[in-house]
Amino acid sequence: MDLTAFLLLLLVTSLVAGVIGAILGLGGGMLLVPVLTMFFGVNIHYAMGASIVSVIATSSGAAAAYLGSRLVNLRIGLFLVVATTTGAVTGAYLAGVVPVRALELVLAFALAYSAFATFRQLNVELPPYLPDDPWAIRLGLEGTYMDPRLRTTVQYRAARVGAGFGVMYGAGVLSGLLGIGSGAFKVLAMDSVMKLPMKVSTATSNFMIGLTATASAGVYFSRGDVHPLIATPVAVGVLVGANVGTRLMARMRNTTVRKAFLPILVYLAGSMLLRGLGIHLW
Amino acid sequence: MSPGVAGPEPDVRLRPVETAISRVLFWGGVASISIVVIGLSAYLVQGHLRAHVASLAQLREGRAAGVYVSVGEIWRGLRRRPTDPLAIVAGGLLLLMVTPIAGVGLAVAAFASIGDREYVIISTLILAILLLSLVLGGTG
Repeated sequence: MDLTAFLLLLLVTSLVAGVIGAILGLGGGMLLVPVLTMFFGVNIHYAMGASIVSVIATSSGAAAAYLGSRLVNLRIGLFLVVATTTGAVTGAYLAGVVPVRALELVLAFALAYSAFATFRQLNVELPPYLPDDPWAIRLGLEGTYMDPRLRTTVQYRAARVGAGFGVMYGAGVLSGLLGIGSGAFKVLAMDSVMKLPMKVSTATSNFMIGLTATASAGVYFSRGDVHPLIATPVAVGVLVGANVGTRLMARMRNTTVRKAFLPILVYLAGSMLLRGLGIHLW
Repeated sequence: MSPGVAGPEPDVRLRPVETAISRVLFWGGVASISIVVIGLSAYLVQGHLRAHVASLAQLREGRAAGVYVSVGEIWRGLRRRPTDPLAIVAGGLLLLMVTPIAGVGLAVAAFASIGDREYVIISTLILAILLLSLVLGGTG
């Protein structure tokens, strides 16, 4: 393959990854790493470096738009980033101490359960009533946004703040330990545990993943994993794609976003199960 | 509290904070994209003239040349004559990576200006973690 053709194909792939990543609150790395390694045959280190660039680009592109439309909850995002970044540091230290394959199997079952739980509330447009959490009131973990699809202003307040913070810390540990993106766990914690509207969950996750990724970007950069020829089409494609994705998502129903999120959970559960059994696809 | 019914008042004090962070993230992204596109275009033009563009085989083997790994290296690449276009690209990528940090820095100042002490502490803590990990990561 000619280098120019490679750059153009990578640009198109990154555009798609940016659209999907922005809608679902994921970094787009989940799509990019397998495509880069299996289809283009790029070295795994460069693929990981491109993935971290993709996460930061999705986050910058999407968070800028979502903050404007008030779908990102700044307070909830910043509060939970404390949990994920300290978790990621813990995870990095635990590497080599914890039996990784056993952990991957546990995670596979946890994700399969989450997929089942998400499936059960697939048609819930807005979260149900839960008693007010004192921490949510004290830290102002609440907000409102105008939903163009529902044609109404939606008000929400976070529930089960302690549990949500704990899950976020766990998500950080896992991403540090297993080297996997934690966007999906962030969305799960906000949607399923803290009962935030699905769109607020994915938009706030987009804001958070950029900060968590920045914490590890220095390591990838100094290791020489961020190759300019691969990272450039990825950064450009993902930033533009994320911008398109945010416009699409604002007009979607919460249930539509959740339906699109479900196959990602099933895929993650499957790939973790395979990894736990010692089968690596790439 | 049930969604859509009486609940929290929208926090209007936060709006200028959100707008400011949103602008930093947006323009940081636009600036870094422009820089990497300029750098890559220069590289491709130069490469086609001199025929030393990196090959795909190098990308597959993971030992391609032209990867910058520190701020000092990028600086030297930029000052070299003729300027290395890949140093421009690396500078743009680095700008993209530090944009979220600028956003958090702005959040600290903005929360301080509206007198929200708890969130000044929270965002300062995040800023410290990010800066520390960047320095420990070796880019500093």
